[in-house]
Amino acid sequence: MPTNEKLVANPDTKSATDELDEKQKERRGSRNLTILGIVSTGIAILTTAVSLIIYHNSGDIYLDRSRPGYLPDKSEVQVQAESSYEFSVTGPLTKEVLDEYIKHFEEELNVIDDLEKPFSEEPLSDKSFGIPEPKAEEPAESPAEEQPYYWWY
Amino acid sequence: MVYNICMLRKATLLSAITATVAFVLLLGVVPVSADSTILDNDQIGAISQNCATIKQSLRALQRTDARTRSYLGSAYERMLSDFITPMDLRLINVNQPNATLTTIHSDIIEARQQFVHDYTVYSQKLEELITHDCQNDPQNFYHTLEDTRAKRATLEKSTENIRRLLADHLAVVKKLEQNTGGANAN
Repeated sequence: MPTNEKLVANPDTKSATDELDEKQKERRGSRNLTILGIVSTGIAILTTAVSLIIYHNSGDIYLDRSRPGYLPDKSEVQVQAESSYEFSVTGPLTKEVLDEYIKHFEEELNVIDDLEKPFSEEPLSDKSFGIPEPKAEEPAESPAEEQPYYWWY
Repeated sequence: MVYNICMLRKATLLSAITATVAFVLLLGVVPVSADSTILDNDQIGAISQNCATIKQSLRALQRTDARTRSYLGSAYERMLSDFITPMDLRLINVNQPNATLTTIHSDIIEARQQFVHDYTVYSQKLEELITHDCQNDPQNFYHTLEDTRAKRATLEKSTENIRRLLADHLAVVKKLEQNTGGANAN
């Protein structure tokens, strides 16, 4: 019976095609999954980078850095140590050594003095917030003005 | 009858003590605002109207102050670790300990700790000021502003104190240098 043969033969053919399709689907699926992973990682990196840039440029980073327990990064410490003078604990204490110490100390003092009036009162003044000066109280009328003037007094 | 009178006296005494304790506690809890300024209508109006701008200015100031704190804190730390502490130790190493420098050294450490404390107190007050509703409650906002000003003034004095101590240290070292006069002190 040809119909039966076809029926018998067809399932084998179908199963082979299905297997091929399934394999292709699996490949596509895994490829799509990989793409999804890469894209989402990329988006995460991008958004994190953008938020870090905003965090840095807005100055909010200094709010955290101003905390009492803040410790500088290792890289910052190294840069600082390389660029600045450090007085040695050992060695003789000659005039030349003291001269050099004074010179570098004054340079560091200038670094501090570069900030003109740190934490001055001006930024919190009424004027800076547009708050007007309190109105001067009108002087109370003197009793002499309140009372009528009598020429016979 | 006598028992009742005794009980009444005890109750009166107890309530008097309770009232006194409550009053004392209340004095401690309720802020006394005798020194605070009472605003006139123009000032209240100006605060309410400029509330958004004031908040913006305060946030900008908060960031600037944080930068200043970071800058000064690093500078003070560097002065101590790279100059003042090694100088004291070196003087001890060459058997010439200087009592004045040692005193200034400990004063600077103390002043620096005070600066850190004053900044923390000030920044907390500033944060409180920023979160205060200046549009609907301008009077109390102004009281907080006055408190913040006081804390800022304390902080400013703290920085001035450190600067003065650093100048004192330099003056003593200069004197030491003059006394050394080119001879090897070791």
